[in-house]
Parts: sequence; structure tokens; C-alpha cells
Amino acid sequence: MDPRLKLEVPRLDGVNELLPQPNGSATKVENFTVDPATGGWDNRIGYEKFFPNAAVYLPFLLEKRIHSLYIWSTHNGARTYHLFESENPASARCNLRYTVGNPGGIVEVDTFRRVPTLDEPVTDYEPFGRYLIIVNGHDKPLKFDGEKEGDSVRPLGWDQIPGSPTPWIPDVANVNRGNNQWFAMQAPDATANSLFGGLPTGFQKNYGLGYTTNNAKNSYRWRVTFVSETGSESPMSAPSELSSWITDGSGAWFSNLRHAVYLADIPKGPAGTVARRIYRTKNMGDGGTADAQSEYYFVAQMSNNTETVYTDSTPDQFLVTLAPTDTASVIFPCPGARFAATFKNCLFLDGGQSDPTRVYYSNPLNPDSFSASDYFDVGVRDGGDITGLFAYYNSLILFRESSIELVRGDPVNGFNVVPFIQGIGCRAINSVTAVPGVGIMFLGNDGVYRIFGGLDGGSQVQIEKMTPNLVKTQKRFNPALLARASATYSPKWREWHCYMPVDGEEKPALGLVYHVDKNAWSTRTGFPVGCIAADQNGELIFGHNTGKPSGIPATWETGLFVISRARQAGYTVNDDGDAAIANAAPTSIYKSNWMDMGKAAQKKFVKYVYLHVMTKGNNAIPLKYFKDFDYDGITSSGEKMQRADHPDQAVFNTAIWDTAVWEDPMFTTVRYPIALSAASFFAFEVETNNDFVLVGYSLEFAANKTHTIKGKR
Amino acid sequence: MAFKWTEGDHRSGNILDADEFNTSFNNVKGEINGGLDRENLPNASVSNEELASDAMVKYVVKSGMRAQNTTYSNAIFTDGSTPIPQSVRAFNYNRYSGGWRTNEAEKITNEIFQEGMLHIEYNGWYWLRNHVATASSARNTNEKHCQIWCQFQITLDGTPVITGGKHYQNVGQIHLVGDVPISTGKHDIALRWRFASWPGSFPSGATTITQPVFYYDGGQLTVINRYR
Repeated sequence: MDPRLKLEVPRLDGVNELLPQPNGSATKVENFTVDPATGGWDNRIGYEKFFPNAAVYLPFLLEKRIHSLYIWSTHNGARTYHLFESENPASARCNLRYTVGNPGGIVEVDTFRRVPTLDEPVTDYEPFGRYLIIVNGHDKPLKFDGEKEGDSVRPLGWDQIPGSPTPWIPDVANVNRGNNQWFAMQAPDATANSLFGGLPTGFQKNYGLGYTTNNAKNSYRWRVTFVSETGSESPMSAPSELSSWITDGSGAWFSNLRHAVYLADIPKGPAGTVARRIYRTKNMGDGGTADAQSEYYFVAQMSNNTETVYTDSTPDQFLVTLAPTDTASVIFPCPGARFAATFKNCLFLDGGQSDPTRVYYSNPLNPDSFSASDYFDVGVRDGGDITGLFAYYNSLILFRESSIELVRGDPVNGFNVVPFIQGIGCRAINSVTAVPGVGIMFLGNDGVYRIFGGLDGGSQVQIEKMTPNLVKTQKRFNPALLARASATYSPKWREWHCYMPVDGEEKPALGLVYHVDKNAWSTRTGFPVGCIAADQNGELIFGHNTGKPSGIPATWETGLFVISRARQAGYTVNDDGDAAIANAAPTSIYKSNWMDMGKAAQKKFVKYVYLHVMTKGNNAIPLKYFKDFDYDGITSSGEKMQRADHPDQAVFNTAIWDTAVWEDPMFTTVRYPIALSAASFFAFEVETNNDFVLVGYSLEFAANKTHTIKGKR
Repeated sequence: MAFKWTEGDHRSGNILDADEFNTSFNNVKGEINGGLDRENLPNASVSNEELASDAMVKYVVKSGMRAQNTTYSNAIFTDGSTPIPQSVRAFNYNRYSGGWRTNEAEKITNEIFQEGMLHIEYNGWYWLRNHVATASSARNTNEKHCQIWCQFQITLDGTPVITGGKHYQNVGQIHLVGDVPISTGKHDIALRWRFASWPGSFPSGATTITQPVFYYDGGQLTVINRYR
């Protein structure tokens, strides 16, 4: 055969919609993954229930759309929380829940949560140490700590200032008045007291509060803070009332003594409080002299959240550690936070819809405490509202509607914001994903981008559009609803999946899949992904984008599902409503590029298409071929995926037990005859739900000197 | 990991693909061989019937723990007028001047535990003559602050892991409970105690430092090692 009349495509690339298309590219690669053995396109995918053996979709019953999903692996993977938010038909609100394994069940974490609108980002989850921070811009930000008795979720930050304690006044004259107490520091050698013990000699002069000189004026104030289980300290309480007294100089046995002060009404903290700290001034005397001062010092920590009284006998000289300033911890500044990220031991949160250009960050390692001055406002530059936060390498990427900025620095030397790029933004924070070897991938307003490189060690942060060739697909995106796009990377499949609303639809309907090993794109259709996440093993788990409709639907799916090798496109519930029957496998479509075979103007006569495939069995797969961008093609007869000139390999359902042997898929070529008139361009398409691994193909064609005729007028 | 999904679907008409079968079979087999956890196993699916005794735990009990190196001395009581001495076994201030003391004679020592959690419980009673410090059965208001106290602690390899509160009552029950992570190897678990040191210089009056002050007995230390 004349080698000039053969087109060999040994390796296949992904979708390329930019005309003219290079050889090896494809017009459509739908519902394929990469076969690791050959690098070809493999259609053995599908999706199945999260609990495959459960009746119907149990424990999912009535869930409507699953709005958010996060998989939080703890205990070295032994305890994995599949947290999701589903619409509760009864309350018309969202419930935050997680699954438990066997028997399959669901545990409520939070209820009556806001259902996100169609154009706003869904709940954002961010690990912070042993907590998972959960924010959605509407409900109170939470920190989830796994299973606990009682509350398993706590509010994030301090939403209250502790009340002030009530100091009693020392009963210096021993007259037993109300709200006074006699807590004098006595010496053992005091005449009237020698029988009763008292402090060891020497302590009398030092221990306790107040001066010992005759008629000296003494005054103190106290403040209190809460300490949460994260170690975060709350804002300081207001100062207590003044406790003041004049040192008794009457000469009685109780004269000239220091005193302990009884503090009542020590406030109890909210749930999650593990301790209270007490701070006090030193002796302010009469308040008008040099000893008057307002600094507070640490006195003691009450390591519980139950006691409400404390007796302060710590003398002034023991007060060494200054109290935190009033600005060191303030009331939680961003209760409407929509996005969270952990960076350099600090929790970063946006200001929410009412404060959309501001980013707050917590004190290091203390996700509950925020200093008054620890925030940025990026509204001083064009770029729109903040649309997401993502920690990457040595920077925190701050996504805005039409720009990207970087937060640099650390909590010791301070953070600062530097602009990175203008004109490219990201509204789809749930699409931002770290992909090994690629960088940070995200769905921008006009395609998929990646950020790679760093700012340290001579490196440079760069941004690159990854989908310049998906010109048609990108036009299908619904830009108003990109915030609801959801993406994840699976190390098992070595794919980045991104599902987004397209064609004006409100729900994600199209999946865009980036195959890392092939550096190629394909699409997924028929997978009802509302939100998707990968677990620590790379399993792709998604929440249904519709759930169970109201009323008595003809067929429905609800809950969580898994993209796997199960050859089924979900389920159909039977008429009795007590079983979910597996659907047929999803239909996969591979459509080649439009091939001009070297010269578009010259007419070609394609005789054969040879598909280089792996043998799969007796299920026949037809081929459809087209010429010159026609919409309609001609379908050939189906061919078995077996070697043409050898005995068939044994297949399931006909193989005989103890006779047939296990087989390996073999690399072979299956020839399809083509009956087509002269064509400038040629393309073929394989559409099937039978198992199919396409490695490459070749064309055999003839050409004469016929050229395209003169153009029309 | 607990959840496993389809790794290979063996469809009618497909070749008898060995790799596909092995992948899906090994997926489940691998889970059984070491991957089983709470997500696979229903609650209460493994009960005593299925487990050999002490398959997952080890426990050690040390009972009859009491104060060591005590002496008999006279406690002086009064019937209102006449002092009545009564010989009591206890500590007194001739033998104790403050600080933590470990009961070295009665402790769990050199016991081999496995990595996991160690649940520790101690129960016992104490006797505290807390008015000795004030030396008077007719104390008045001004003396209340002089009450003495006792306190107990559990140590693991010398490190305090449970510390009880201070007890001011004359007689009381001690109940200390705690759970700590523990490594594989030999460990010591011991009881420590202390009570208030003499709160001043030698007092006058009826009190003497030879009077009995503190005693504990009936203690039982139970530790349960739950393997990881």
C-alpha cells in the first residue's frame, strides 16, 4: 500500500475544539477515563450508590439536592466523615450531616441551615488542627470536632464578652457586714491569733492584697476571660466594680493586715469553654497618686467552667504577666464569613456579604480569637468581591471576581497582600484544587486556569489557561452560576473533575475532566453531580444534583453516589418503590477530529478505519463516519472487540467452568470498512455503552487529483 | 478505610479478564485483611462470644492500698472537760512536713502494657483530723481559714496524670479516674498523697505535733489497658 495513503494515529489526545484540529485530537471524548496500561481511552466507568447493598438509597430517604460535600479523614483514615448538606423537605432548610458505615446511617451535625441560592457559593470546609471549620455566609460559623457526646459542633469564635466578676470588700474592721468578708492574712505570732495558726512567719508581710500601713487606701479591679478548648482566649470582660478599703489602723488584733478578696459571679463561658482566666490590677491606692494604674496582670486560671467564685490572695509582687490588651481578642468579627483557609497557623476568613472585600485572620493556632487589627481590606483595588481563599505553597491565594491577589508573610512579621493578576478571577471557589504536578487548578470566568510556581527560592508564580482549545465547551458555561461549580482531584483516577451548570441550566450538568497522565480533556455527561469530593483513597464521591422530587416521582435518585467501575448510570426505582434497579451503563462517545489528511482542498476516499483497541469480548461496537462536517453520518455494522484472525477469547456467560481460562485483554486492530464518497474532511465516531478501550487508530484512504470546486457566489 | 466500591464489573459477553477480576476481588480481600473498622462492622457485631478473654484489653488491680510508715499516736479528744487520749495509726507532724509522697510499697510496677489507652481508677477512703491545726474543738469564726486539707494524685511513670481536689472533711472517699494514652512497654502506676504542712510555728495549747493527722486505707487501684 502506498504509505502516503495511510494516516496513523497511534496515540490519542483529548478534546480540541480549535479548528483546524491536530491529528490525534478529538471533537468529543465523553465518559471516558484513561486506561493506565495503554494510555488509551477507556469507557469502563459508571456510578453507584454510596451504600451499594442498601435497600433503595438508604439511609438517604427524602434528600433533595446535596448542596455541599466534604470528606474529612481523621485517625489515619480509620475515621472518615462524609459531611454533606441536604435540603430537608420538612423545614425547607439544609441539614448538615455525616454518614456512618454499618449499619448505614446519618448523624445530624446542624439543622435549619440556610439553603444556598443558585448563584452563591455553598458551604466551605477547612481543616484547622483537630477541627473542621464550616462557614457558609449565613449561619453561624462552626467548628466540627468529630463525634462527641452531646454537641459535636461548636460555634467558631467568641460571640460574647465575659461578664465582670463581683469583688467583695474586705471586712477590715471585722464587723460582719453584708458583701464583706474577713479574709485577713494573719501572722502566727499575732497575740490574739497565736493559737489558731495562720501564715508562716514572713508571709504576713507579703501575702494577700492591700497595704499594711495605717489608714492606707487600697483599691483593685478584676477582669475575666474565657479559654476555649482550642486554647483561644476570649475578649476581656469589662473591669469589675472597684473593691476598695482602708487598712485598719485601730491597733486591734486584726489591724494592719493584708486581705484576700472574695470574687463572686465569675462568669461561665459558652459550650466549649474549658477554663477562665482572672486578671487584676495592682493596688491602685486612692487612685490619684503614682500607684494608680490600669494595667491588668494574670492572677490565676480556673481550669473548669463550673465554679463561680474565686478567692484572690495573690500579692502584687507575684503579678508578672501582663493581661492581653483589649485588642488582642475581640468579638468574632466575621459571623457572615463565606470562605475559610488555614495559612501559617492562622485561620483566614472573609468578611461575608456585608463586608465582601475584607479578610480577617485569627491569632496563630487559636482559631477562635481574633485581634482587632488583624484584617485586610482589598477593596482599595479593582477586582470585585472576594470569592474564595486557598492556601498554596508559601502564599494564600485570594480570589476575587476579576482579580487574584496573594497574601504573604507570617503572623510574627505580619501579613501583607500583593496583587497577582488583574482580569482573571474565580467565582467557583469549590473548583479550586491542588493537583500534583500541575499546581492549583480552578474554574475561572472563561475557562480552566492553573497557578503554578512560587515566590520563594527564585521561583515565580505563574498563571496559565488550560482550556484554550475548548472554545465551544466554554461557551456552554452558565457564568451566573459558576459559584456552584464543584471540582476535585482524584489520585486514584489521576483526574481532575469539575462539574458546572451549562446551557443556562441551574444545576451542574456537565463534567469537565482533566487527565493528568495524558494532559488531555474529556467530558462527563449523565452524571448527576451536585457537588463532588475525593476521599483519601481517591474515590470520587458526589452528592446528587436533584435528589428526590416532591410528590411521587416516576423515578428518582437521592443521596450520595460514587463514580466507580460499576457499569451503570445510576438507578431506577421499581414500581413498588422498594428497590433501586441498576440502569444501563453510561453511553460513551469518542468522535475523532476532522481529518484533512494533509491537504483539505484535495478530495480523499477513505476505505478503512482501523481501531487499535484492547480485546474486550463479544459485545459489538458500531462505528459512525462523517465527511466534511456533515451532521449526519453513516453507521457501519458493529464489530466484536476480538482479534479478527484468531479464535475468540472466552467470555462471561458462555465460558465453561473448569474449561475456560482467565484471559488478558490483547492489543489488536479491528477494521471497519468505510463507504463514503469523496471528502475533504473525514471524522468517525464510536458511541457505545459496551466496554471499550481505544488506544489509537489508522485510516486507509485513496486520493486522486480532484480538488474542491470553485466557491459559490 | 471502610467503603469499597466496584473496581471491575464482569459483564456478560466480556472476556474473562483476569486483571479485572483480581482487581475487584483484591479490593474486598484487602479490606478484610486489615482494613476492617467501625465503618464495616455493625454496632455490637463483635461481642464477648466472638472474642477470647482479654483479647483487646489487659487489666491490673492493686487492692488493699493504705498509708505506709505510719505510727500509733494519741489523738486527744475532749468530752467537754476531760481530755481523752485515743491511740490512732496515722501520720503526724513529726513524720511529715509537707509535699507529695508516693506510696512506693503499694503500686503497680514494671507492668507490661501495650500501646493504646490506659484507664486508671483509684478508690479509697481517708481520715483527716483537720482541726488539729487549730487545736481546738471550740473554734471560733476567725479560725476557719486555718483548716487543713489532704490531696491525692495518680502518677504514671512518675508523671502526675490525675490530681484530685483538696479535701477538707474529716473523713471522705477518694475517687480518681482518668484515661491516658500509653506506649508499649513496662510502666509504673502509683498513688501520691499530701496534706497541708504545719501552718505556722509550734503552737501553744493542747495541740502537739505528735497528734495523728492523716491516714488513708481501703484503696484499690484498677488500670485497664485498651489496645489500639
